[in-house]
Parts: sequence; C-alpha cells; structure tokens
Amino acid sequence: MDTKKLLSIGIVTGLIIIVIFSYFNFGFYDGVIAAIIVGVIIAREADNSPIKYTVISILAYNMIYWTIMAFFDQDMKMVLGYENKAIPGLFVGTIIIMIILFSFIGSFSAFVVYNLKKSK
Amino acid sequence: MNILKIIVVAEDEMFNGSKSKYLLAVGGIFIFLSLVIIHYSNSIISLFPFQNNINVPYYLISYLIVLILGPLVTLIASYDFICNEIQTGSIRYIISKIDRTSFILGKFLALSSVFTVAVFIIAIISSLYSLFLFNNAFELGKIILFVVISSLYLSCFISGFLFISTLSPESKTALIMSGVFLGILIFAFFKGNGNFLKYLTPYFYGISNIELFGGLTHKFEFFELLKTIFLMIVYNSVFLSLASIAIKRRDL
Repeated sequence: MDTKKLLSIGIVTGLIIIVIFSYFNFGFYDGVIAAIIVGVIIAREADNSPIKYTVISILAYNMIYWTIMAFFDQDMKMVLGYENKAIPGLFVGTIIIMIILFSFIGSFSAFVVYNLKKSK
Repeated sequence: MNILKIIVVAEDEMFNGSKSKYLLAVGGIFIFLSLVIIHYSNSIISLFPFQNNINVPYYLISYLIVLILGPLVTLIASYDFICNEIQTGSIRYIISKIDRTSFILGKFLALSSVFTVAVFIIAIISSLYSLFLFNNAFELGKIILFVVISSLYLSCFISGFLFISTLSPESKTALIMSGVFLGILIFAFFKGNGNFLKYLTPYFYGISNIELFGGLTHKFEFFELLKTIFLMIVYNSVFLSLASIAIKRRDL
C-alpha cells in the first residue's frame, strides 16, 4: 500500500478511536489503546517499514486532536491563557511527553504484528 | 521440547558459543559495578553523624542495584542473542538437530543461569560486607530469597528481550526495540499505580518484595511473596511461549 493511503488510514482511525474514547472518560488509556490499534492496523497493511508510518500517524493525529481541543475546549483555553506561563508550559510539555510515549507503544505493537505477519 | 537438548544448548551457549565470552564479560561487569556501589555505600553513614549504631542496609542496596541496573545489563547481554544467529545463518546448523522451542529455552536457560550466578555473587558480597564491617549474622535464608527473587525478576526481562530478538531481522532493530520495550515498561510502572497496568511490568513485582530486604519484615506478608513469585513465573512463561511461536513461524 502506498504512503498516502497508509498515513490517512492511520490518522483517521486514530482520530475516530480517540474521539469515541474521550466520551467514556478512560483517562490516558484512550491514547494507549488508540496507539496500539493504529500500530496493528498499519502493520497489517504496510509492505515495508511500518514503525515509521505508525510513529508519523500517531504524532499527526495527536497533534490534530490537541490543536482542535485548544481551539474549541473551554477548559483548555483557560489553561493556555493563564497569566503565569509556567502552567501552560507544563501542560504542553506533559502532552508532548505523552504523545512520544504513545508513539513508542504504537511502534512496538506495529513491530510485533508486522514481524509475526511477515514470517508465516 | 527435550530437557537434555535444552541443557546442551545452554551449556554450549555459556562455554563454547560465539557469544559466551561476551555474556560472561557482561555478567562480570555487572558484579564489578555492584561491588563498587556496595563498597562506596559506606558513605551513607556520613549522613547520620550523631548516631553511632547504624547498620548500612547492604541487602537493600544490592536489591536496588538489581532492580535498577539489572534490566539495563540484561538488555546489553540479550538483545541480539537470537537475531545475531539468524543473521549470520549459524542457526541452521543447530535447528537441523534441535527443535526450535528447545533452542529458545536453552538460550533462556544460559542467560538466566549467568545472571543467577551473578546475583548470587552480589548477595555473597553484600553479606560479607555486612558480616565484617558491622558484625551482623550470616543470613542464609535472606541470601536464598535474594537470589530467587532477583533471578526471577531478571529472567522476566530476559524472556521479553529474547522475544524481541526472535522477531527482529537485524541486531540494530533488536537493540532499538528492546530499548523501546524497556521505556514502555517504565512508563507502565509509573502510570500503572493503582490499576491493571502495573501487572504488565516486572518492576512492580520487584518493588513489591523490597520490604523483605529493608529491615521491615514485620510488614511483610508471606502470601504476597508467593503471589509475586507465581506472577513472575507466569510472566516468563508468556514471553517464552510468544518467542517460541515467533521462531516457529519464522523462515530460517
């Protein structure tokens, strides 16, 4: 499958899962589960280097999700517009670390599924 | 699966294999680092200048060394234990005579034996320091518990790294993915406090036995010890089964 299709499948699937899970208040589990599912789907579809595509997809859909949240969510607007800049900095830093960890988890699931799929 | 064949693979890997010297060197470095840390942990006394009768908790320090340094040392020792053989093609000579599950279990036995011996030497060193510097009694029970729990804890990591090594096409990929796996385990340990994620990490099993070596034995429950030992055995079995499935599916 070509790069465009793989990345769009990864990003759209991740966004759908993360939006659905955000209604159930799973805390940070939604990100973990979304990362694992995206990794598995990309590993099943990709012909080569699924880890690269998984990491890019996870970074992309998380960035899209948090950017939309920053524009439309009232609580997040309040946090980002706080007078003391340490608080928005801490918040954004935590989100970036979480996104990197989600991409770790997703890449690991993609690695396992791809290698199991490749050697039948 | 044949026990004799597993022992043959393990023996070969420890004494005659291409990576035997590397494995023994890593084990030796682990013991040396532990000796250095145990030796300089005497400086803890300087933190309590007004008290005379302070015992340095050598067993606790040794256990913390195993908890923190152990996973990294096992990563260095075992990340390319199987994929290196697949890459060079030497696995074909072994697979023609020994079935694949025995091969994986033999490798696991070799690695865990080396680290069990290393942990035993660390326990002896800490007990000798405790005996000669503070005139404490030689506690054989504590040493046996230390060796059993620490070796099971390290073998959890070894089985995980062997699974990754079985899946990886190259040594470089195995190293990166082992690092990622260790990162995920640390993340799951820190975020999993109070939920099911903690059971996915060997760190949790290691930390839950720490009271045993910290001098707070009255708080320790025997049932908890048996539970963690059982869970560590299950953890090992799961990853070894996964590694076995992975190598059976692989085209060698």
